[in-house]
Amino acid sequence: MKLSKEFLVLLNAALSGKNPEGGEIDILTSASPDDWQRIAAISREQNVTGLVGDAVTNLPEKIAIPDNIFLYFLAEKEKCAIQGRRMAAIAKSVIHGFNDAGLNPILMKGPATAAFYPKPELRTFGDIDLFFYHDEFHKARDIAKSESGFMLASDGSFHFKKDDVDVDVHDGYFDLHISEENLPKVPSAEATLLMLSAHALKHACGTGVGIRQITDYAMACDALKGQYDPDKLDAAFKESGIIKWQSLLSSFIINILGIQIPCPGGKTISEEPLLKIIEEGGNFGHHAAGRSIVYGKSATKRKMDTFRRFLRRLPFSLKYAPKETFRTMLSLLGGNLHI
Amino acid sequence: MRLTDEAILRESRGKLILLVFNNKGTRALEVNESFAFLWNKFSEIDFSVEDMASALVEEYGIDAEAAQIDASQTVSIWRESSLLKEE
Repeated sequence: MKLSKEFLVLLNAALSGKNPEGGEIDILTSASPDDWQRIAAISREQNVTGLVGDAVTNLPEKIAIPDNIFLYFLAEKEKCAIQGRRMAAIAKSVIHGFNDAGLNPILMKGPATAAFYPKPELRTFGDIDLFFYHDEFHKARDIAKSESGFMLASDGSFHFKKDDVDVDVHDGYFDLHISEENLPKVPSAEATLLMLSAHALKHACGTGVGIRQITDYAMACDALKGQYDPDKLDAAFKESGIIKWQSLLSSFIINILGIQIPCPGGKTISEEPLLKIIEEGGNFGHHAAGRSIVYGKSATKRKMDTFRRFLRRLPFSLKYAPKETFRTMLSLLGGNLHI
Repeated sequence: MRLTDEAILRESRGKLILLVFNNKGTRALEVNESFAFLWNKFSEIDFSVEDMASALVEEYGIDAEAAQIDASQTVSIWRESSLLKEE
């Protein structure tokens, strides 16, 4: 579904923590009931109902909002906040549990970025991802074996449930198929940004990427301003072979989200290819045509669907991250396909 | 009796909205000022219709008989809307 200008105005308000003003107010004032329905549908598809809900419910009263849409967003915002606070408490308790055993997990992926948003609880949570350095990873796995739903994954990571929330534990910090030895040290601002960029890339080249994965990177980049060395970060992108992807990602954030972040080489490129992927499938590509059919099907069918989508995306992947795409293909041929 | 803990009251854009989250889904109800007053006053405590009537008399200066009727009607609405936890 195409991102409407009204949706982008509201998303930007939520990300900046400021109410729309000037021309943005005019855009919202002239929105029709159908436009408001569309804002709700896009927000759902991109999994940002909490963020957009906050912007909608804080709009000045002179902007008319259909009652059903207003109530929908108010409920979504509160639901998201309740869930966000619950997830943050569970993540804290899981981390403390490992700390008590003398281990030092590092929160990663989406949940690690909630703190970078103006209202952290309004970033929709999925699961909890933790990283351990290799020497601690095995000890963590032994401890987690007694937790409910414990499972080992084919990539060596493991999974368990805490209060019905999925916890995934990894011994690799970056969604990249290269040795992490030459990449930024974890934890560091540079490592956080590379991890989030590579995570978005992985999904962009596979089932699809949504706005929320992009805003995670944008918010981290904005919040960590002054804490990372842009040259060092560019060097890490080059080392990873994803510098062109980084230009695309930064250009999308600057041109579409209106957030000023550094762009490799100092100039933006066309954001269209990424916009197309985001509009096609929404959050993690869940809304792409045919994707919902495979949910609930066997792991093999889901893997085949992921593989088909990966192949379809090859022209994009080879253009923006050729080295990583090649390494991913080798990994896929080895049977290590993750959904 | 006690009010459900599956609902929260919010004020937004000049409206008072009660949001109910339970296993049936989410409901959003627009409520008036006296509903909101009673909800805030009696959330998280045990109370009776008489307690509610006294609170209405004190807050709005209405007579005891009218307050009793208002309080009873409000309790009926809360009960019909599954907003009460009764022992």
